[in-house]
This record gives sequence, C-alpha cells and structure tokens, in this order.
Amino acid sequence: MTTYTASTLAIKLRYLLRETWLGIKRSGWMNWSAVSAIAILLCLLGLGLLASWQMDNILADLGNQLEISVYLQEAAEPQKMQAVLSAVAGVADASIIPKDQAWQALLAEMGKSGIDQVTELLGANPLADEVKLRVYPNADIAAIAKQIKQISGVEEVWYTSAIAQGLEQLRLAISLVSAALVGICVLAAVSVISTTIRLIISARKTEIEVLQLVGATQRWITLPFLFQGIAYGTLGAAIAYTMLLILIRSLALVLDSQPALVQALLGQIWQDWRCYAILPLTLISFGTGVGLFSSWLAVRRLSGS
Amino acid sequence: MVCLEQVHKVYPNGAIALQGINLTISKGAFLLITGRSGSGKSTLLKLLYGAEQPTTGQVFVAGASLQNMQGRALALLRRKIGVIFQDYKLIPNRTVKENVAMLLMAQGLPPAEIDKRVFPALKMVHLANKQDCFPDQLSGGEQQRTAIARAIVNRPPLLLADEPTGNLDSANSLQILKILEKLHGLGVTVIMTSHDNLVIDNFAHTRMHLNNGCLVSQP
Repeated sequence: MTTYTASTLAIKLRYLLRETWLGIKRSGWMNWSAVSAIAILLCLLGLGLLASWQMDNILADLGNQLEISVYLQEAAEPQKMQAVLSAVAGVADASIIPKDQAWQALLAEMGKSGIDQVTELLGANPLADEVKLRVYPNADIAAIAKQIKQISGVEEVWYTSAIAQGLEQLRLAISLVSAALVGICVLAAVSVISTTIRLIISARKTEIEVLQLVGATQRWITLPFLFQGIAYGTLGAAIAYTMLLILIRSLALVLDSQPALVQALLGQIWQDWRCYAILPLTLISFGTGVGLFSSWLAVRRLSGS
Repeated sequence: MVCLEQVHKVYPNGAIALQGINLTISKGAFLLITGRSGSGKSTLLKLLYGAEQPTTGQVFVAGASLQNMQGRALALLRRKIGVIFQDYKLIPNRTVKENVAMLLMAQGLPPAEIDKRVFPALKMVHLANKQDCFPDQLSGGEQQRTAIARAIVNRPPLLLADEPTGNLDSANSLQILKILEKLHGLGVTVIMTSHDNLVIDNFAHTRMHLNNGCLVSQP
C-alpha cells in the first residue's frame, strides 16, 4: 500500500495545481467562454434566489398582518380566554377588545356620537367580547382557526381565508418557478462547461496519450481537468456575486426616488443577511459543483482509454 | 522478460495483424523485428505495452499477464517499460526537460530527485545543453533523442522502440542505434522494430521477421 507523507502530498498537490494552471493558461479563449457562461448562469440563479427571498419577506410581512378574530360567548371571561388562546400553537400574540370598546369604535365609524342614546335605543350592546390573534408567519392559519373553534367559550371565529390561501398558492408558485429556473441553469452550465473541457482535452490529446503511455495513472491525468472545472465554477461564482452585489447596492441608491409600489416590491433586500452569507455560499457551492460535475462528464471517457 | 503464447490479433474491421505468434525474449536481449509496413510490427509492440489486447492468446511482460489489464495496474506496468515512437510524441509547449520529467512529476517525486534523474538521461542522449529548448527548436534527431531520454528516465528494464529511425537521416539513425546499443550494454532489454536497411545492415544482434502477421524466422 502506498504511504503518503505530508511532503509527498504537498509535492503532488503542487504538481496538480501547476498542471491545472498550465491547462488554464493554454486554454485561452475557451476559459472565458466557460467562465462567462457560468457567471451569467449563476447571476440568473442569484437573481432567482434574491427574488424568492424578497417574496418571502413580502409574504412574511403580509403574514404578520394576518389576524384571527375570536368572538367569545357571553359567559366566557376574556382574560382567561386570552391566556387559553395565547397557548395555541402558531399564535404569536393575543389581545382583548372588550365589547364596549368595539361598540364605541363601531359607532364612531358610523358617525354616531351619542353612544348612550344608541345603546338605549337597541336595548343593549349587541357585540361580543373579542380576542384578536396574530399568527406566526408561515403558520397554517386555517388549521389554527379550526382548532380554536373547538375551544369551549368560543362563539365564532373569523379569518381572511381567501387571502391566506392566495398567499400560500403564490409561495408555491414562486418555489416551482425557482426550482425550474435552477434546473435550466444546471443543464445549461453543465452543457457549456463539459463542452469546453472536452475541447481542451481534444486540444491536449497527444499530451494525455503520452502520459497514459509513460505510466501516469488515470487519476493524475484527470485531476487537473477536474480542478479546472472547479476553478471555472469558483471564478464564475465570484464574478456573479460581484455583479449581484453591485446590483443590490445600486437598488439601495435609486430606490428612494421610486414610487411606493416599486419600493414595496423591492423592499430592503440589501439589508437581508442572506445576501451576504447564503448567497455567496450558494453561488460558490453551485458553481464548483456544476464545474466539477461537468468536467467529470468530459473526462470520464478517458478512463476507458 | 517477455512471452507471447499463441497470440492472434484481428482488428474490429477484420484486418488480421498477427497470427499464431509464440515468442520468448529473455532479460537483457536486444531484438530487432523487421518486416514491411503493415506486417504487424507496431501491433506486436502495442500488445507489449498494453495499448492493444490480443484477440486470442496470452501476453506476459515482466512476469505479469496483460490480459484485460487496465487502470492503475497497467499504469504501474508501463512504468517498467520505456516506449519510443517514430513520430517522437513530444509535447510541443513543454521544454526538453519538462518532456523528459513528465512521468516523474506525475509520480510526485520531489524536484531535487527529478533533477537527479533527468540530467543523466539527457547526458546519455547528448542533450544536457538543450534542456530548456522546446521541441520545435530541435532537429529531428534531437527530438528522437529527447523521446529516448523520456523513455529511459524512469530506469525501465524493458525498452520498446517502434521504428525509432523512421523519420531520420542516416547519420541520426546510426546515432540512435548507438544509443540503444549503449542502453543494452547497461542491461536494458531492447525490442526494436524497423524496415530501415541501414539499421538492419548495422545491427549485430538477434533479428526476427514478420510477414503478414506471421513470424517467419525465430531468434
């Protein structure tokens, strides 16, 4: 069995990196076709991710505004019910709106000022005490409402089901579009890089043949090509990330002068921590992964030589 | 060192390259295989370095059967075999030294060890002063001598030379023959193919002739 010491490994790694560098140097314009293709594709992927995160943020904001109105039975004690309802999974906050306060607000909205007079006219305040619940973003509002309806002391439960369902459908559509976009990106990147590496292998056919004939192992012949694929992915990711950073920083500068609707759509994406952690990591992982896979596709035929 | 038992080789297009070859070459031998173009000389050498597999029969090199040998095992066996080609097969954008040191670098040897092995190999073929030249800066004879240095740098016990003088003038051909003689003198087993009359006339060791894939004279 071969024993590798640290110095042997260092020498081999230096050889591989040198061969990779020589390969890149000799590939000329073909490098740029691979790097620019992957940079563009990673830009698209990054834009897809940013759009998806921005939609997440918008949906989360809307989700924060989703409320469930729980109307209590006459005999139920609002404070006790508030405690019970707060304990329900998915409920972020519960606040009591006493029926008198609700009644006054209603009358104010209707433009009536003499509350005692109207109450006297109707005989009594017809409203019930209400507990307003705010649910966590992404919580299943329909399931929470159903659960609350079965709690003793609850008369009626209202929530904006249509909006909630619409939001869920929109979120699903965004996920599907993002997945499709990523899938297309992967196919295109793999195709471009593996074609480029194949062209490079074709240009270095004699060199590979000689290496095989003098007894270089397949691993040592193919590793520089795999490293080259990784280098393309990393460089492509770096370029794509720089372009995306410039884009989101530019948005921050110009957004102030834009209409409210545009501002609402673009939000504060540059303040999202994912832009500075998940985005670069995703681009580098995706880029190197696709680069490695594509070059493996290109060199695997060499194994049969 | 080399043994072929009832070797037949038929290419997929139906061309018969070798028929019923039985041959044993002992360690330290120097064998010249002659024959017309297409007689099967190159195919015989390809069988010995594993670039082709026999259709039937067995090939043994340095005690190992080459039947279905591939991957790492074949690579390790090839390190014990030096191969010289008619068209040199040098890498154009690498210097003489880099061409010769290719395998040693791929084996992960330290630079000092590479220098220690490359310099004597270049000295043996009288190219020590041209180590930084590129192949296109060399004459045909110098290119072939570079290829010989590359073939012997790993100190292989077996050297295969496929028409090494095929592209050279008489002076260079005789120089190549002299170098191969010198290597044989150092204990290397040499198997060479040629249809060059100058080489045949100046060759003083065992000869063998191939005619339409058949061995017509035994060593």
